[in-house]
Amino acid sequence: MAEKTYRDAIHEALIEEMNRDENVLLLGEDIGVYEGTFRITAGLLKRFGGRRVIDTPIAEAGMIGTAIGMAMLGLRPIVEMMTFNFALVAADQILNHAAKIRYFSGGQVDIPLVIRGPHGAGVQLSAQHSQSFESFYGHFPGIKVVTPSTPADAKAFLKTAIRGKDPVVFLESAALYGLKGEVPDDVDAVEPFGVSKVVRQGSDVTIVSYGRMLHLGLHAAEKLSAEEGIEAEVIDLRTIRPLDLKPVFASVGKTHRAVVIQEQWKPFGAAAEIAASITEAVFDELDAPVERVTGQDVPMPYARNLELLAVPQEEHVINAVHKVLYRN
Amino acid sequence: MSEIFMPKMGDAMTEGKVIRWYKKAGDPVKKGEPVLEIETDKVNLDLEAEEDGIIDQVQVEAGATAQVGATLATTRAVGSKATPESPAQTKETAPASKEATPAPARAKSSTEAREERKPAPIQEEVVPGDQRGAIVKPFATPRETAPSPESVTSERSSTRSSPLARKMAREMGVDMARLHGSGPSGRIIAADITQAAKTGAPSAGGEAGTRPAAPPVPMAPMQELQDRQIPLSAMRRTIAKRLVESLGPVPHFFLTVDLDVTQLLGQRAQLNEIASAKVSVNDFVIRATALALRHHPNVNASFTPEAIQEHGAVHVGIAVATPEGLITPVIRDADQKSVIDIAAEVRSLADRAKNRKLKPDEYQGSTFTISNLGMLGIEEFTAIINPPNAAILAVGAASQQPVVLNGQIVIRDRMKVTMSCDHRVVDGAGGAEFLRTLRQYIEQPLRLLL
Amino acid sequence: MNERSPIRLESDSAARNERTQALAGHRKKVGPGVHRASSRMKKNQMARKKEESTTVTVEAEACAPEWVEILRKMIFIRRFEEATEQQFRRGKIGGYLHVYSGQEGIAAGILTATRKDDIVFAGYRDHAHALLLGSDPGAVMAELFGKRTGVSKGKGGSMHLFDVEHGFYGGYGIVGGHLTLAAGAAFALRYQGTERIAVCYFGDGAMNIGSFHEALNMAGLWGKQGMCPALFVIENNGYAMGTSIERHSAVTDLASRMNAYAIPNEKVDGQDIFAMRGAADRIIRQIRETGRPYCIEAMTYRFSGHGAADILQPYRTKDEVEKHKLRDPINIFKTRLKEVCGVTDADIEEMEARTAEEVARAVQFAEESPQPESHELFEHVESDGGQLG
Repeated sequence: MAEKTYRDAIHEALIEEMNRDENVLLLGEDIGVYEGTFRITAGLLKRFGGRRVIDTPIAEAGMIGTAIGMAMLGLRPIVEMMTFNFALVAADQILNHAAKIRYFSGGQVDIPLVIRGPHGAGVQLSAQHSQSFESFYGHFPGIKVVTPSTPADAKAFLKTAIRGKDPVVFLESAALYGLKGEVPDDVDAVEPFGVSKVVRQGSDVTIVSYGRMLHLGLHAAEKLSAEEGIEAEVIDLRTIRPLDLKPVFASVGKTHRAVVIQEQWKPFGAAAEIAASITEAVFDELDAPVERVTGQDVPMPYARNLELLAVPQEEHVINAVHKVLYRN
Repeated sequence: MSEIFMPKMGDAMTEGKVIRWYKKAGDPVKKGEPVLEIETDKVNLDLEAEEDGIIDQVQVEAGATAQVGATLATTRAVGSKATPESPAQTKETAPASKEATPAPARAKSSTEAREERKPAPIQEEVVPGDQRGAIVKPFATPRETAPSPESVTSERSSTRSSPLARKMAREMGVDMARLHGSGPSGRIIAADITQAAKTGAPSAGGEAGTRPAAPPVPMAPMQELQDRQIPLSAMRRTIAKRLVESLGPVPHFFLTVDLDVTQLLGQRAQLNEIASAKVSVNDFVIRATALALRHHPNVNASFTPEAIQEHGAVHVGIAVATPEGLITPVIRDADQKSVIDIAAEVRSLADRAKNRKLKPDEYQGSTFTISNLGMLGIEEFTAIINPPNAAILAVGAASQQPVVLNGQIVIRDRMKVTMSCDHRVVDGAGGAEFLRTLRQYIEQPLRLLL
Repeated sequence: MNERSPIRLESDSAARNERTQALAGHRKKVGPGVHRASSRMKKNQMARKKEESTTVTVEAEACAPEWVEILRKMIFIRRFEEATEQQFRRGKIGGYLHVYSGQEGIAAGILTATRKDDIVFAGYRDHAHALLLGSDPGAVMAELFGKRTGVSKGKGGSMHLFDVEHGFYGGYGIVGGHLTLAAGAAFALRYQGTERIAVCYFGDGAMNIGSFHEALNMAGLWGKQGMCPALFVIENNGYAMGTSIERHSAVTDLASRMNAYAIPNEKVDGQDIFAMRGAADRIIRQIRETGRPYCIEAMTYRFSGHGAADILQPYRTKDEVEKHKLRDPINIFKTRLKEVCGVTDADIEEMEARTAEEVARAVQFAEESPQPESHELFEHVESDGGQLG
C-alpha cells in the first residue's frame, strides 16, 4: 500500500498493463507529444513509442471505431476521451457497434476496448464540457460503465477493464484527479465489476452514490453525525453497469430510508433507476419516499455562481436526509 | 402443380387484398403474364405467373384479404387434370402456405369479417358479467386471488401511510385507522406506529378503580431495541394467509353488546374457592356461548358455495396467543362440558399450543371461535372471522363502570363483547338474537350450571 | 410500359439519362488498364450482346480452371438471392432484406483474390461476401430465417452476417459505421506482424457520412507508416438507397475523393469479372507489400430494389434497369468463358441445375432448423452475460 493520487493510479495502471501485455495500446488526442490535457499519459510516448501511444486526429468516431476494429482482432486498445463530452461524436461507434457486435454476431468476437476520460462538471467549463454520462451509457446493454470514486478503485478497475473482453466506458472525474488514497502495490490487484461497497456504516438513512458525488455524500454524512447525531450509511455503487444494489436493499431494510445522489440531470437519471429498484425490491421497508439529489435541469451555465447552483451541494444532501427522516 | 401466394412486399406487411383476377380457373397462363392484381398498404401491383400452366383453383376471391404466404390460386401443368373442387378450401380459408406457417391464414372480406363478429363465438364461452350467477372463468376473481395485506389495510383506512408503517401495524396489531400521521399530509410513519404501540394499550387494572378487579399487572419490561428481521414461520404464513382469506371475501359485520358481569364475577370467585382448577371469566364465556349456540344453530354454521352448512355439534375454538402467533385450539362439544371441565381443557390446550404440541385435530374443526383480549386490558375490539366459521366473538376486559340502575348510579362490572358475523350466513337480526341469548346466560350465570 | 407489370415505375427517364451521362463522364478519367473495360462497357450499353462478346480483355485470353469455379459461384449467389427474395415474399424472412443481384462481380472479383486469412467487412448488402468467403449457404439462409443454426445464431439477420472462422467480420447496418472498424482491424493485422489485409466494402452512399471521412483520413495517415493494409471497395451502384449519385455527392468522381486522404485509387468496371479480378490481384499484392490502403471504385448496378420493400422504385425507370441488365456480369462472364474456356451451353445448364439444387437445400436446411431457444435471448450480450444486476 502506498498513498497515491487518482491521476497517478490511472497513470500507473496504464504503464503496468502496457508492460504486461504487448496488445495494450493507447489512442487519443494529444496523449503523446502533448502528454495529455490532464497529464494522465505523461511520459508514455517516450516509454512505449508511437506505435503503442498513438496521437490521433480530432476524430472521436475515427479513434473509437478503429479501436473497435483493433479489439475485434485481439488488441486491447484504450482510447482517451479528452473529455467524455466529445464521445457523443462517436455515439454510433460506441452504442451501435461496440455494444452490439458481440450480440449480433452470435458471440463470435470479444471487444476488449476501454474508453476512458473525465466527465462531469469541472470549473466554469459551461454547457458543452460539463456533462455526466453514466446513465446515458448505463442504459445500453453490451457495455460496462465504471465510475470509480477512489484511487484504489480507479487503478484496479482500469486493470479489470483492460484485461476484460467487453467494451468499458470508464468515467473519471477531473475533480478527483488530485484525490489521494491508499493504493495496493500488487500489479495484479484487480477488482471485479458489479460489487457495491458500504463505505460508512450507519443506521438512520442510506445514502447511495458513486464517483465524485460519493464524496459529497460522505461529507454530508460526517456533518450529520457530528451536528445532529444522524448516522448515515453510505454506499458506493462503484460500477453503474453491472449495477449491484443488493447492499443498498439490505441497508434500506435497516434504515428504512434512502437518498441517492447524482450529478446529472434528474429526469431519467441513474438515481431514478436506483430509486425505482429500491421501491421494487424493498417497498415494505420504506418509511419515506426515496429522495434524489441531482443537478438542476439546465445546461451548465458559465458564471461561477450559477454553476454552483446547478450542481448538487452538501446542503442538498442534508436537506434530503432531513426530509426522509421527517425532520424538516 | 404450383401456387400463387400472397407475397410480402414491405417489411411490415402481414396481409394483402385481392383486387381482381385477370384469369379464372381453367384459363391458361404464360410465365410472366399478370394473373391478378393485389393491394397492399403501400402499393397496388400485379402478380405474374411464375411458369406456364393452367389456373387450377382460385382460392381467394376478389375483394378478400389474405395473409402473407397464403395460397391465392393453384396452377397445374398444361394437359394435366383439374383438381376436383374442395368446397371447404375454396370457401372458407386461404391457408397461409403448404409449408408450416405458424398461424393458418384466414382470408375473408372485410364485410364477411364484420358479419362473423356478430355471433362472437368467444363471448359464448364467457358468460357476461351482468348475468346473475355467471362465473367468468378466465379471469381471477377476487376470491381466487388473495388480496395483499396492503389492500386489506387500505380497505379499512384511507389514511396515508408509509409502507414500513403499514408493515409494522400489521405485525404489531395497531389499527392505523385510529392514528393521526405525523408525516407530510398526515402520512402515518414508522414512528407513529411505535408510539401507538407504546401508549395505545393501557393496563388492564385501570388507573382509578375503587376495587382492584385483578392483581396489578406489571409493565411489560422495556427491551433493548435492535434491528432484526424475524423470518416468517410457517405458522405466521398460515395466519397471514387465512386471515386474508377471511377479511377479503367474507362480508363482515359487527355487533357489540355491553354485558353486566357482576354476578358472573361473584360466582367465579365462589367457584374458585371450591374448584381444583382455576376458572377464568373466559371459561364462563365459552360455556355461555356454547349453550347459546344450541339456541341459534344458524350461527353455528358455515357458508359453502352450494349451501349454508349448519353443524351438528358445537365445537368452540379459543384464540390463543403464542410467541409465534395465533392458534385456535378447539373445545369439542363445549355445550356438553361444565365450566370446570372447560377450564381444565383450556389450560391444557393453551399450554400445549404455547409449546407447539397441539395435534391437528385439537385445533381444527371449530364451529365458532372466541377471542379474548380482556386479560390484556383491551376494552373492546373486533376480530376477524376464523373460516369456515360464520362468526367470532371478541371479548373485552371486564371493568367497573358507573351504571344507572333503577334510577340510581351504581358501580357495576361490565364487559363488552363484539360478534363479527359472516353476512352470507347470519343476518343482523339473527346475530342480535344470539347475543340476547348470550346476555341471558352471562348476566344470569346460574343458567350456566343447569 | 406494361400497365400490369408487377412493378409500376415512373416513365420519366430524365434521371436515367443524367445517370448514363455521368457514368460516361467517369470513364474518360480512368487509367489505361481500366479504360479498356470502360470502352467495352460503353459499347455494350448501346449495342447487342453479340458485339459485347467479341471484346475480350487481356486478362481473359487464357483459360484458368478457376474461372469456371468463379462463374459457378456467381450463379450460385444470383440463385441464392432470388431465393431470399422469394422467401421474403412468403414471409419466411423478416426485417430488411438487401440483395446483391447485379453486383456479383465485385465480391467475386476480389474475394477470390484474397488469402484465406484475410478479413472482410461489409455493409448490410452482405450475403454474397459471406458465401464467397466460404460460409455454409445453409447457415447463411438459416440466419435470414432467424434460426439458431444461422451464421450469427439468428441474432443478426440479413444485415449482420458474421463468420469469423471464414474471415468475415460482419455485415453492418449503419451506413459508413464499419469503415473505422476496418481501418483499425487493418492496423491490428500489421501491429501483430502479419501480412494479412482487411477488405472493406461500402456503397457510394456511405461516402457522405462523417465516419467515412474519419476512417479514411486515419487509414491514410497510418498507411504512411505502412500500418494500414486495407482495401476499400466502393460498390458504386449509382444510388444511395434511392438518391442518385448526382444528387448525393458534390463530386461524383468518387475515387478521386480518396486523394484527399492520400489513398491511391482507381475505377474498375464491376460488371466485368476479368477487370475486377485483374485489378484485385495487382492491388492486393501491393497492399500486402506496402501496408498502405488502396481504394477501388467498382462501377456497378443493382438489379433489385434497394431492399425487398422497395417496390415502386420511383427514383429510376424500368428502362434504366433493363438497360443495365444487358450488362449482367454473369451473362458477360458466361459468354467469355464459352470463348476462352470452351464452356458449353450444356455445361452452363448443368451448373444452373446444380446451383438451384444447392440453393434449395439451403432453403430446406433453414426451414427445418430450430428457432433459437428462449434462453439464447440473454446470451452474448457481454462475455459474462452482462445483465444489469
